[in-house]
Amino acid sequence: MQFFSFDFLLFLAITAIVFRVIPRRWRGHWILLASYAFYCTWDVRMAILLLVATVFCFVAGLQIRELRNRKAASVLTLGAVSAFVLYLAFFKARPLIASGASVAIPLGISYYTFRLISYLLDVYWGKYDAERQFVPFAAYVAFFPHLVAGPIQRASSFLPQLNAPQNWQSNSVLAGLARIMLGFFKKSVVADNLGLFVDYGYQHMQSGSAIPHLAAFYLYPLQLYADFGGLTDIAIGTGLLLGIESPENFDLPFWATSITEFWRRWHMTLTSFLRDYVFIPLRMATRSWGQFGLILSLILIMLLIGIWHGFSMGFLAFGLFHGIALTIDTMSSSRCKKYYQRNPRVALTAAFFGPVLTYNIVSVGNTFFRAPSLGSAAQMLGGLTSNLTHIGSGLSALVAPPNHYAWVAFPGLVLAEIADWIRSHKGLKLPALAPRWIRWSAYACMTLTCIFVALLFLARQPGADPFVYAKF
Amino acid sequence: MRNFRDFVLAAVCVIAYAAIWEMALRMVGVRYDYSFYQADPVLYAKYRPNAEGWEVKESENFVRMNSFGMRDRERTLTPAQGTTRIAVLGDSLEAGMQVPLEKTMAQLLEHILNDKFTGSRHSIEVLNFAQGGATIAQECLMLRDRVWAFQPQIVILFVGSTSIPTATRQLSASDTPFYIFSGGRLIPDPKNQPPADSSSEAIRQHDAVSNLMNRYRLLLLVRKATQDGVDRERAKLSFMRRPTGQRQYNPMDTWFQPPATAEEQNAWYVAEGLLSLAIEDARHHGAEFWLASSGTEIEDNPNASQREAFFKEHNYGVTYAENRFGVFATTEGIPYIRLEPDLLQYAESNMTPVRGFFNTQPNRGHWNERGNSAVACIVADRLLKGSDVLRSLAEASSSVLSDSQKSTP
Repeated sequence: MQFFSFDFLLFLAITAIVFRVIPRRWRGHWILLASYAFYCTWDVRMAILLLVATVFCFVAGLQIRELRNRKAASVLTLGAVSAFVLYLAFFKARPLIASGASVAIPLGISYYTFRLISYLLDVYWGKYDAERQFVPFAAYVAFFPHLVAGPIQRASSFLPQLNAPQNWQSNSVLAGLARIMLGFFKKSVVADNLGLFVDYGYQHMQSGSAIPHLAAFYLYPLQLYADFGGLTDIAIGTGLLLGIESPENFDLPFWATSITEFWRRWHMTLTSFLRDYVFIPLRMATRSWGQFGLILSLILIMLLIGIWHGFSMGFLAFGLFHGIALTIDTMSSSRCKKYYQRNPRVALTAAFFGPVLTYNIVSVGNTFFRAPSLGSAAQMLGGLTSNLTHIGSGLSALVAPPNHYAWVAFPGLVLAEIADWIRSHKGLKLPALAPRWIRWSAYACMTLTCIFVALLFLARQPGADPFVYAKF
Repeated sequence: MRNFRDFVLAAVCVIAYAAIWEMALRMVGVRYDYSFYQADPVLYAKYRPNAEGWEVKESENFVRMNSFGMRDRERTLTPAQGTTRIAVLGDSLEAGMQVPLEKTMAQLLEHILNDKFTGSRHSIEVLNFAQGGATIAQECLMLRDRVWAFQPQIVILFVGSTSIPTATRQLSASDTPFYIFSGGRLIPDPKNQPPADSSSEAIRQHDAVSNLMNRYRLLLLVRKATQDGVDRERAKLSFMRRPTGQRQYNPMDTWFQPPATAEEQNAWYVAEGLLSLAIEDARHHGAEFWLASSGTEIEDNPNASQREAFFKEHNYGVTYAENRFGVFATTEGIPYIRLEPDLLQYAESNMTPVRGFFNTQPNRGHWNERGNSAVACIVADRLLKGSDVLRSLAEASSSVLSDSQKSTP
């Protein structure tokens, strides 16, 4: 069952309504049941695998708690974490091993494995007490809104919410629905239309014009942002309908003034997971190596992010490129800071050009991410300045049918950013003292939106563009 | 009072919100199938007079029917003096909903023929009675009930790959009028069920609703979702394929191969019987009758390797249907236009597909602008060479022209 489908809307409506009407003590059970039902629509065998991994982790967590402060706890933690890393690596590497053959990969394997690993390490480090009840723990691991593409929520944030669910709040439902609709908007209006331009760019690299190259190069980061951001919005909104507040994954990443800041704003739950569970331990282990240790840690972490997407040269190049960019930025940041303090005007200019430079760096990295091979990535980058003489005809060809309505992505992106700004600053909730007619209007318009979106899904041809990050 | 005020304010907000949705759908280019049909007691379905909307499945084209419900420019029932009329009967290929009206085969044919008679006092009008999804029975009924009122002197009836599979109820599940043989005579199938809502009042109401729907994207969305989407979801819930109760025939088989079953053989007999009735009808009205076969997309695919692969994969040899229609035409003593060799030649020599649009695969579906133009040229050429009506017209024109030249000092 895809998030972007009528089936999901129907499933969500039933799940949310039942969740709200059943007694509180059954809500965890209901979430678990719904999550496994959702998972089974993809693959029943993989649902069994998820269950086995959950049981293993649950038992391991309890054992680690029992053995705390003993050497056996370290051995058990190391063994369990290694087992999960191997489990993840095995499925990630399967397409590479069985090249050409179609292989089944568990849905959201990265995300639930990360949750399991973070849980075990938190229990081992004493940050979180092991969960003694299996149902809430299993519901946490399999929580279907977060299963497809995160966000990666820690047990310490999720389980207390599940164990002490809040009362019915019409405002949280409204906020959840609004967030889901925002996600659908980002995906269908922004990402899919930008995708048309990007696809055109990659299909017309041989045209001799720089326009297809420029379009694909500069629009792909925005497409990826809208696509992944939309998917995250749907996940967070769905969580809100089920009484769970989830962590944010993005914080205006393209306003970042440096690549380091970009990674603090992009896919935040993954980067914070890797920071806490990989980078910091690695840095601690290599601290005696000085700057070399830092460089090694940065490059390793970015390589890890790269190959997490898949075992391909493109993702490896993506990781390596970002690792090098981060290293350069980190090494030069203190000097830059001092220089800016001495020259405030330069600092002002840097603040303005920082996001532009960062966007260009991200675009280069994303070219390796998007291009089907390293050769075509090089071709894409090489053609950026190839022929800028026929800009008019190149642009006409770019916006010719079937891309003639794709321009709506640009105003759509602006609207989505405004909505995101309002959401993060004011929230998507109605003011507490809003007049009755405004409340009535809001509820009626939201109902109408849900109906129209359901109709759009019904009228849509099946098998349309899936989310980019749903495959990771 | 306060309740009422709040309710009105909320209602205004909701209406404004729906209007925003309507505008947004227009802005993002969301379009669904527009309604062009209305119920008809004879044809069961026909184009609605003055219906207008977008064709979006293949290309994007704004279509407007004329006041007679034809994919044609506005016509009068009675032709102007000195006007020779040609009636074209066919299905969606000939209706040409995917191209602008002036680029349809019928309009281009009219243009080419009129060019040939420039300077004379004669003009040619090509009336397009073609209709999407029309079966042979519907084409014959159209000829009998509607065409003669326009007094055509030439009738061209197009047959295509769907003509035989839709000729009998045994092969087709569509709600169209069927004919059967009874006592050696072709009679309407007693199982025929004209649309229940074909009374003039019901048609009027249906037209009003359809025209309203064509005006608003939100209403089109509702219709599309409730027609296609609900069926699709229901099929998913049934967890199995819906039994059709009938064997699904591949139209290509009946086009490329001799009939393999008694049902297919019967479909051929019915189709030929219907064509005979149409020919008789035309003779009765003193009109010249032409049969034309439009062929299939693979036959005019300029990619030779794809053609060969297709014929090899399906083990097809000669095009059976086109040959059989040729034999039928010879037996009936009527001229026959077989488009395919010429259309393929056009596609190959110009290295361009005659079918397919920006939103479809090349060489697939309906004729594009080049295809319509090529077909118009082929048909015009054959008519000018073989039509007695046009020949006599040409002779009359040349004598008039020579007389006028003589009288010119």
